[in-house]
Amino acid sequence: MSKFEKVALVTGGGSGIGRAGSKRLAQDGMAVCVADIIADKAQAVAAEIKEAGGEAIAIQVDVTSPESQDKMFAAVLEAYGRLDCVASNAGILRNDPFTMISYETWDRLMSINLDGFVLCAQKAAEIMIKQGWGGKIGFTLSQGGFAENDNATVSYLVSKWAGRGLLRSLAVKLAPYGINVNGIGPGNIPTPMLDQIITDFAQAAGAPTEAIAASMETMAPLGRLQPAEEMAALYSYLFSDKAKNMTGFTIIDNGAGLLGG
Amino acid sequence: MESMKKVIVLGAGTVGEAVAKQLLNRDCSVFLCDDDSAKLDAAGKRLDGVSTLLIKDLKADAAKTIAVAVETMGGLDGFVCALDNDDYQPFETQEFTYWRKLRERFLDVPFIWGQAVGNKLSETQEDSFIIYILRDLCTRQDPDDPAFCAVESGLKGLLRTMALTLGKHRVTVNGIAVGTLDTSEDLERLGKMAAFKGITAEAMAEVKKAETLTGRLQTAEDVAQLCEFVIWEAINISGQVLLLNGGTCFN
Repeated sequence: MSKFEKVALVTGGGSGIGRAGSKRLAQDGMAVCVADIIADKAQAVAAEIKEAGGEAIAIQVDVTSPESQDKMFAAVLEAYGRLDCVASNAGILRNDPFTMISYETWDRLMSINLDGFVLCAQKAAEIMIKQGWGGKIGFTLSQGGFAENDNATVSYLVSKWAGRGLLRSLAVKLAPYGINVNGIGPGNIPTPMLDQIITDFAQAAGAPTEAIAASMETMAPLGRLQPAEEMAALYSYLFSDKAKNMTGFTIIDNGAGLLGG
Repeated sequence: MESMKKVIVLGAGTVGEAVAKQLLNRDCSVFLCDDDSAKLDAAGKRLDGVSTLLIKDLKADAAKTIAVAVETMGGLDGFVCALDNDDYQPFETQEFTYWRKLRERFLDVPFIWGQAVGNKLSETQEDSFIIYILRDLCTRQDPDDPAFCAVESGLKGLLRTMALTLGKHRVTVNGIAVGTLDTSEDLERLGKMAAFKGITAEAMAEVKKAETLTGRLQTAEDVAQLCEFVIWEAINISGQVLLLNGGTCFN
């Protein structure tokens, strides 16, 4: 039995929201399994957590592979003997207009962003049901999962819409087992993913990256980029006892940016 | 006098056939295609004047098929995606291969065809349409079917974005989101779901019927008639998902 009250798993934990989330959950007293496709990054975050007095392990995972995900969950159970919270956060973004995006690009993104959610949720649910004391599953969605957008991120947006559909049904399905399923819907967060968007948009528009970066800041009425730590705070809340009665819900935290229905 | 519309219908199952029939009744030129030879042959025999083509690979052969359709009909005004689903696995024991097949058929294929048809229709800058027949699962939760909810929800997001992108080229993009259908495909699917629940397919159909406010399941003809409305009457509607589910859920 783990000496920690709760054990959390964060996929895509090596950078961006996953990194911030891993650190925040560790601060909350959880043992954190930092999973990432880039092992070095996962190890670096786990080391940061340990340095700060927390508990963490690093796991290398390819979320598109059922076998790799199985190994990831096995590693969690081997290290801590239990699993309480899972942040299914790994994802990528590609900038290709709808009229031009290749199937290979689409398929790669869907494999990571959507197959990754499905496989992760399926295995997490299996373990949590077997444990018998409930649990929390979270998806990193996006404001894009609630809106349409005539720009170059259509495959990303579609993957987040799909994740939202999955989340709602799983919430109902897993409620009898005391498992809450929720999502977070970030806007523009200064992460490597946003850097990539800015670079790509600047290239496509023939504009300086500084100008695109500035436009990202003013895109939302509240007029600021949100640090990844603010998204981490959402996971902290959703995985706490304070959010006992919240399920099937996605918290949109985007400074009133895209507001679709 | 209205000009004859030239329409590709993807999917020769019960719904696709009903849509094709409705369009033929309006003197449209219809190109019906599917990867299921039995369904395509049967529909082709029942529908006078329809052109049919068996597709080997729904993903890889999309562009080729659309080119043949355009050549056969002498142009293209619209596309109806009416692929049916007769398969089911519960999420608990869902195999990865099942999930991939589901994703490919109901999200990837609609994307590939929507992109190819959208680009083709955009060339003419004339009023044209794309209609996706999807499920009301795109807009609600169903604990029996999280995977299908996921792909249908993704398709809803896709069509809304397509409406934005293609609107400037005078292409409308809409969805018809149906509840459980009174079709052989849906009944087969319900049978698989019922087996998992330990009840009969008939009992499962009654459950689905009871979920509606109207007390009846949708027929393929209901879908075809709404399709007709969207094509001829709803010319300024785009990016919408019209629910045809007997009031099982609202938008």
